[in-house]
Amino acid sequence: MEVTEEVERLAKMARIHIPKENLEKMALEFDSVVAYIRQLDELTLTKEGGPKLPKLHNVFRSSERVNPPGTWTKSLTNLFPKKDGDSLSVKKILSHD
Amino acid sequence: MTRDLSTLSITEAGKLLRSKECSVLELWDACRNKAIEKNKELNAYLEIFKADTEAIERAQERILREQEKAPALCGIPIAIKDNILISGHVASAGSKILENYVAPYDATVIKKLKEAGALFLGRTNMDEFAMGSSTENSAFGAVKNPHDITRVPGGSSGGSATATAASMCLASLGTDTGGSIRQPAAYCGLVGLKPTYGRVSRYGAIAMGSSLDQIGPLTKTVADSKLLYEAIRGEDEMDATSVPESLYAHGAPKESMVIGVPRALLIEGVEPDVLSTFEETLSRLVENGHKVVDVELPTSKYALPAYYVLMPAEVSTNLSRYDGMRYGLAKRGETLLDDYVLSRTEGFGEEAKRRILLGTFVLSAGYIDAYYRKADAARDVLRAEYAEAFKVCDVVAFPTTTSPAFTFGSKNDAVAMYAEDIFTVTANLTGMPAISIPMKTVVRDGIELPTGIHFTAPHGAEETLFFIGAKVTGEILG
Repeated sequence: MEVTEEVERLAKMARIHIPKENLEKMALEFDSVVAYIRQLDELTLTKEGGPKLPKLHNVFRSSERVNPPGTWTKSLTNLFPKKDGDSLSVKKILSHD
Repeated sequence: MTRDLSTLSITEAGKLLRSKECSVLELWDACRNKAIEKNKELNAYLEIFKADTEAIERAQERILREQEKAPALCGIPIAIKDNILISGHVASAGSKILENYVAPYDATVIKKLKEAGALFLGRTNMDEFAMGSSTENSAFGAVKNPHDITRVPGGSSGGSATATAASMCLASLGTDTGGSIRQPAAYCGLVGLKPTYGRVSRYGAIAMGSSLDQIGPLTKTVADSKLLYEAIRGEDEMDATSVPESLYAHGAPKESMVIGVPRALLIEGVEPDVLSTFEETLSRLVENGHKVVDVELPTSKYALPAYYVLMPAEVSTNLSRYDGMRYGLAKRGETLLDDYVLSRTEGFGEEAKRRILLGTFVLSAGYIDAYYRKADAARDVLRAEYAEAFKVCDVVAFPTTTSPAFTFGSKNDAVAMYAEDIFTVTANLTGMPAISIPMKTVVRDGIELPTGIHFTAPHGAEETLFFIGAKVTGEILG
């Protein structure tokens, strides 16, 4: 049941719960996909030249304000599942107890 | 006017609008009525929009005022895949986790289409987060192929493909991460273009695999594909991966094309009648003055395994943002961790979960060198092999798919479904543009089903694809 444990471990890292009754099926599918991508083991790549940079790379926008303050506030805060005014409400994660 | 306006191409509709043989409203109504009539059976649309009367009037006035100078897409009803943001409309990416997400802004492609006067008929169904090759993975039910409703339309842009093929719009936009425009185009008898990576802005497209995704058109003709591509292309300061026009310079396509065929890749797996249809299409091109040569692309056989490393890695990264905190499905438990786990567990479907886990696996310490970095290095080799091939040919051709559309439920194991992308993923890995063009039909269960021929060209050579595509369909491009 090594694969099942691996799938459980990955699911925990990915913040997903896989119910026990689905775990074996998921593990079987996972195993078959991993077996498929293991074809890459047959591929021999020379180290010649190393990774190639694309013609255009590391393009950054200048760090400047492009919208007046408040332009998007309403449309974004409207999507909050729970809010207090314009602030997003989430569970308290620090406690003094 | 006796002709059903919904069956027109963009080019034909544009002519009728300018000659006043039909109005923008008549065209809109014809497409919308067809969409409503057929959607119960085909499930192509997740939502059919109400008429935007102001936009319709503006488009009509503009055509009357500017006539031939009005943009080609002015007044044209288009369908949009559900992972492309239209301000004020839901964009769910076919997922429960975004079922109620209302787009706060327009994607750049939508902004461009609005400026051109195009009209939006609705948002089309898709595999959840574009993960699939059949549109069976939508959280909102599968889409049916209009040629045979027992068969899939392909995916992940299956809703866009079915909507276009069934005249529920004049054309549509899809997204393509591993073949999600070209494969459904082949299955539905359409022209499907994946542009060069960076030629079309991804700003406002819900990300699946950011180094692979591109927005592109699904159309009835090559001429329409060119029109829609011209309207949405261009460098965008909001997408740092978009490229300037000058980056890939090409002259006009040559009158006589050299078509490279990697025969070694076609020995196994392609159904005989699809292969003979492909050969027949090539023969017609040769009769019309083009040349076919063999090319070697030995690493292509590793393209699909490499894709199924790189794509899930990017999926697991991109989908980590969906945590039930700021938007989307929000389930609450005892702790903050419970909130994340409950929201993600309930919000994502099986295929999304499978790919998130796979991506988490290939990026884990101990596996990242064996899988992710090796697959990434394979991309460079694939690019180099294609560059070498393009020294002796102008385009590389395959059949788009190994078979015509398959029946629902017939590919029920993940690897069999992933193999659907075998000929299409390489263009996403290399960033090169590629197009699927309808070939002749093949018969299954007494029904004629479409097939497609796939051409890949060097980066930025979309004009070459339109040129060779038009030679296949017999169109004369303006």
